[in-house]
Amino acid sequence: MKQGQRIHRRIAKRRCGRNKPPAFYRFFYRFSMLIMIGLVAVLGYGISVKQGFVTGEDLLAVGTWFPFEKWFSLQDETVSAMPAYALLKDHYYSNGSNQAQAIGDGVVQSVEKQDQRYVILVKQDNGVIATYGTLESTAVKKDERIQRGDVLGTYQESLYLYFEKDGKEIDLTQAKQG
Amino acid sequence: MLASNMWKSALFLLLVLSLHESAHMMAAKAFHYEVPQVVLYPFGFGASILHLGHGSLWRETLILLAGPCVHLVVPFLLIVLVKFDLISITYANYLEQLNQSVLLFNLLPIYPLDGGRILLNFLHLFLPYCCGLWVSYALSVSLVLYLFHETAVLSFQIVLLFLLFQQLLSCLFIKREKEQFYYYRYLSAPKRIRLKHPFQDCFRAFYNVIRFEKEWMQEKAWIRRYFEKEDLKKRKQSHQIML
Repeated sequence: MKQGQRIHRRIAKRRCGRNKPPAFYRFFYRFSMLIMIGLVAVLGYGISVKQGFVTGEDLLAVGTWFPFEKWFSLQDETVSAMPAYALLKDHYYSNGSNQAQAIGDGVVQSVEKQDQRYVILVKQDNGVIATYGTLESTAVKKDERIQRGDVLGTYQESLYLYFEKDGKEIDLTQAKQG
Repeated sequence: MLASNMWKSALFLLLVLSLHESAHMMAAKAFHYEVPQVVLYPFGFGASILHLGHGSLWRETLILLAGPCVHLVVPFLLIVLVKFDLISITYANYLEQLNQSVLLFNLLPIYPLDGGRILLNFLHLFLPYCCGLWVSYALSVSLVLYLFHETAVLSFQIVLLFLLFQQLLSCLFIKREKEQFYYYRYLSAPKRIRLKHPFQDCFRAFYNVIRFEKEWMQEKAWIRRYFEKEDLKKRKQSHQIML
């Protein structure tokens, strides 16, 4: 009789759900599950990079993954002008005005000051690291996302441009395409 | 994929979406709707509001419009950030574009989003409950498929797939939605214009007097009759199984 009563009580408790652990334990449990899933995802990604299934960071342009960026672009791709740089000397270019425009979408890696001039390093979506030097003023800050044609700063006479991909130097046309 | 130095953009998106949802929650609480939990989706938050498709059309439209209104305030916040020299002007323009995209996305007439629910409220002005649901689901699914075909952006397509999945789930649960609506109508006492009609369903915007088997039934009596029939059906089914 007692056994039966105990069993009935246990069943009733499970049905009612009044035996739930406190809210903090439930939150901690779900949070740790999320962390574990995240770790598995990161580990899986790391292993596939190591094994060479995917090629690290130039897998896809960041813009295709980051939400809302080009979902409702009311202008065409061709309207956002590709800046035209003419070569003056080796690594020194000019685009007709004194505003330095970015040649591709990317994220600003660093903004440094060297000898009263600014140097901006931009990591583009296609894996190219572009250096814009001899700038008199900057219009961007570190870790900001820029689009092609955005003004990075102003320069006098000529702009120093240097492009690098996978540790090797590349020229302007290759940097534009990726 | 997502570079570690995209944290500013990601943080901005998170901030905007949580402002949006808290606007919904505050409006809901102001109109005495219950908000039991906030759900986390891959692309943002969602405040689940109880009985959102069941109550007063006018109040619910105001709750749903409170979210997008926040997006109209965000440009001023960006100007303040620029004045304090935290971000540059070009980046502020980019963030404003993101903000506009989120606003447009929310106002699309697709069911789980705000625009879809506003469309549903509009349809419920002149259609009975189930009919309105079916029409809005059909419009949502067709619009999602059309956008999926038109767009070339991968992340947009993934989100559209997710929305399609949600809509198909809602189509399966229309009966439960209808019963929740009838429960709500049975318990609430709306003082509305009386509408006599022969359709075996309730109009959300009016007080219904429904023609049932050659007599006119008041709303509450009709709902009670509906649930009694359901109970009878279930009992018959269980009897058959036992036999």
